[in-house]
Amino acid sequence: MDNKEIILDVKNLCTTFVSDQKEIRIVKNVSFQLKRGSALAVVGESGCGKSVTMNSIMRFLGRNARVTADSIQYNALRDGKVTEYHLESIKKPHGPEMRSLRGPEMSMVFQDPMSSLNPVYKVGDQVAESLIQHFHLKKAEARQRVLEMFRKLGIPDPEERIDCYPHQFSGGMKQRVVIAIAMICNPELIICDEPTTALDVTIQAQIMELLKDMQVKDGKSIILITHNMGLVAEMADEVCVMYMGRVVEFGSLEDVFDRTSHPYTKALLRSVPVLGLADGQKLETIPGSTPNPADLKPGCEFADRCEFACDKCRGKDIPAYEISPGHRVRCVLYDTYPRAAGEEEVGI
Amino acid sequence: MGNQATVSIKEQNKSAASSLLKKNIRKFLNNKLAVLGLLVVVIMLVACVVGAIIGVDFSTPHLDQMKSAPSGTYLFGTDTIGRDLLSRVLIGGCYSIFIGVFCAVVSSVIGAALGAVAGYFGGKVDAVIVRISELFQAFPQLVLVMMLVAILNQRGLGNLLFIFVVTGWMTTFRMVRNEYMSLKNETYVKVCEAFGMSRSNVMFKQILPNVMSPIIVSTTTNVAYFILQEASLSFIGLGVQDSTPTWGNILNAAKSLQVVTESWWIWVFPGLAITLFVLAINFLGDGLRDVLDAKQQ
Amino acid sequence: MLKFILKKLLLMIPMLIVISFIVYFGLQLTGIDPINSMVSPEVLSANADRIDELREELGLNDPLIVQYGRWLGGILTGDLGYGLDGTPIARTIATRLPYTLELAGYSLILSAIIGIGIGIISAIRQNGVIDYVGRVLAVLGQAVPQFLVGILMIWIFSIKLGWFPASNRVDPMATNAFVDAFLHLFLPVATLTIGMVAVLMRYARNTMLDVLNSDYIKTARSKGIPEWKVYLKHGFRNAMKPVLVILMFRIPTLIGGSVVIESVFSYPGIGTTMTNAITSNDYPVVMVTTLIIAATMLVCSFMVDVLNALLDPRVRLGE
Repeated sequence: MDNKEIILDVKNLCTTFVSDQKEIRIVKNVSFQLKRGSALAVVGESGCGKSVTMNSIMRFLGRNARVTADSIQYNALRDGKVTEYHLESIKKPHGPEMRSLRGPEMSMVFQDPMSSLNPVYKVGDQVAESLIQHFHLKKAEARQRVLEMFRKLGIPDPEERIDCYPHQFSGGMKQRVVIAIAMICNPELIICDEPTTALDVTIQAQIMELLKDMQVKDGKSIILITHNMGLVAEMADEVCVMYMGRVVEFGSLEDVFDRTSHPYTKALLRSVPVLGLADGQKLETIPGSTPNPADLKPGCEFADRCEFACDKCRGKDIPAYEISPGHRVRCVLYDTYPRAAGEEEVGI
Repeated sequence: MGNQATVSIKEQNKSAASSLLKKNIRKFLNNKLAVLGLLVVVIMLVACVVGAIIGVDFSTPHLDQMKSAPSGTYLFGTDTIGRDLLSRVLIGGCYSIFIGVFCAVVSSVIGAALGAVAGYFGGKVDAVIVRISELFQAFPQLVLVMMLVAILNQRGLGNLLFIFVVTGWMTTFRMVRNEYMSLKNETYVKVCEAFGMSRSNVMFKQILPNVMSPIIVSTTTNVAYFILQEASLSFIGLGVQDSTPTWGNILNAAKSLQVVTESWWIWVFPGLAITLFVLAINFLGDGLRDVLDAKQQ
Repeated sequence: MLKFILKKLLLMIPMLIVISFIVYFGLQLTGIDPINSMVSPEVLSANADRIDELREELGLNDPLIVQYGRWLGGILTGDLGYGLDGTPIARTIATRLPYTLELAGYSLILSAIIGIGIGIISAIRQNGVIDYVGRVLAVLGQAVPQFLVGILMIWIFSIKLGWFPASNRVDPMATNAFVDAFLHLFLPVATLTIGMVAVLMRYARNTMLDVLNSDYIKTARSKGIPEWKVYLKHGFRNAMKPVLVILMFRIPTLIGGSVVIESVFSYPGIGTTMTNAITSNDYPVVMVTTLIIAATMLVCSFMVDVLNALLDPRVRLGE
């Protein structure tokens, strides 16, 4: 696969937070590739480092975070030519190089639309801001583009709504505005950090529809952070399962869902509520809770909660095994596990 | 599983509480400034109290020794009418600290009680108390104090304490009221109410412990506030009578330019005493806040 | 917006009435004969034999509430009565109020600029040099009594260095009014400003830190706009609101402080007028000065409300 096909290539990304002179490793040796025009879902329990990984790539983390990586390569495709950007070597997180990428190349939709918009400015001006910044448009031109975007995103009465303040919008409408901000400069890569967690279920479906449209119709590449396995099944081409700062399983949707090879992924899939759950059939939960990242034992982080854990799991870091092309799993039992578990595949 | 559960819940709570206490003490000891603050407060307090107990002579003027600079006999020198400044600073400390502590504690109690009532009951009771506190706040506190001094028409320790308490309860009141307003909607409060607990029981036994930490912290810092307030008032000559030394009263001498120019010791030593004590109290308060403030844990 | 301002203005009136009521009746409790404050001393001594008649004429035998109404009416029409020494209070106020307004006003503006400025910079450059120095200054500024700072100022700048006068506001020998004002105002304004800056700086820093941690700052950064725009346009504008509120809450302290500072620098403002009036039991003057200070306070809080509304659409659009 060459640079035209891969839009984002992350190798060995590590993020460490320093607090009270203690270093806490939040993201450990994360590697993944995102194909141009495809959707990657990053799943895992809360606090497993999904958001931190994405914020590390976008360089949004504060001064107390230290980000290192062998490579974070972003390949911009312009008029058939590929320009490589090595994000890991950009020194200033908010310097001109990084800023020129944010907006026209890569952008981010945040989790909580309620707090993602600046309360003191009109929504239209907030969307237009990056247009004016990157394309040096006049205010009137920018306004036209914003109106177009609002129409495209299905915001009713755009002429009127464009001059409203965020507090006059509902949650779903606010999230559309946030998406508009992310989309207005026509970026290639959109990272969505749990874009619908704060919204009603019906609104959630509409927003996901919008995102899917962008990927399919406009050929955008999307990274979707979520813990909703249903959404993953609907949206993703590839799935990246994270646990305690590590990618424990990575592969295509089919690989991960149908040929599940990591006990944690299996557990995640089993704990999804399914319509038509038989009477008396209990929804399964993952025993225990996520350990504190400040005092982790060496070895597999999931071992303490894993029913198959054995001596091999403890003591040293578990490498990633490639069990089929593009399907990687971080479990010593990778070759025996699915059979050893003797379980039927779980459908969603 | 069952075997381990033989330890009674009470025991568990006790050990949890004592380990929390230990953790808090360790946390406090880790904060060097707070420990330093505590040390300074204790040392100054002990010095002042010991001075009072052994009965240092702070009131006899030595007219032949007026404004004498610090020396072996008078470590801090003497004031404008020849009284020993060290003794005056020590005894003044007793008064100043007493004023600070008394007013802080009493105004906190009043503020907390009113805040609890206003925040918990809400509605008209709340509206009335809030109006009153706003009215008090419309005046600069010092002006309010001055007005009360004018009305009481007499300067004395009792009056001063009364005035400070009357004008000092609003900050605690506002804080406690806000806490109660948010806490009364918590599930545990609803549960208590559903069990039919009396309102006063819910207010003081169930909610109050959760508000204690900020009250303790604000009481601590208020001690510093009232000491400063007393000093200002005494400095402009509206505090306690001249016969009672307080740190502010001693500094009153520095209203004269001549004293400022020629006798630095008269204002430097009591000034240092106030500053040091207030600084120490503030450090102590910050340390307590770090330990007690649940939001930061 | 206009409706908002009008509403706030109308709300001030009952507040003022209640305050004047308290001031009047509070000081009636002291039992001083109000005739001295209503009739100029010359008239009084010329008519010593018919004081009782005068009393009746002036309505001093009327119920207190009627007298209060008359007093309030007098104040509204600019008749403030007479002080114990016989000078019309209106004249005293007219000369001294501007001096205090000068003192407090300059301090307010200066401390707002310096305090908020340093606070914001410390927040942006967290744990930097300015942040560190600012924090030390804030701690010290809150521990040293203001009048002691004033004394230190006098000791250093007027006694040791001789740069500024140690007292008063106007030098009769001065040739340039502007230079004269600057020289006399510098030390008291600096003293008051230091105290205010200490508080404001700390608060502005914490508020700005909160704002910088909020999600919309991340949104702003995701647009690729320059950092100064992120700080000023998105951060500062939002941090201003709570800082302005705290500024309002500090105004009483500022005015209280200016009373003390006026005393330190023998500055002929309202504060010294009031202090002297209290020590000499000049109640009419106490009443008027208290009222004026309370009214100033209300006006300040009104202005902050308006500013607040200008900065925040949620308030402006009237919820």
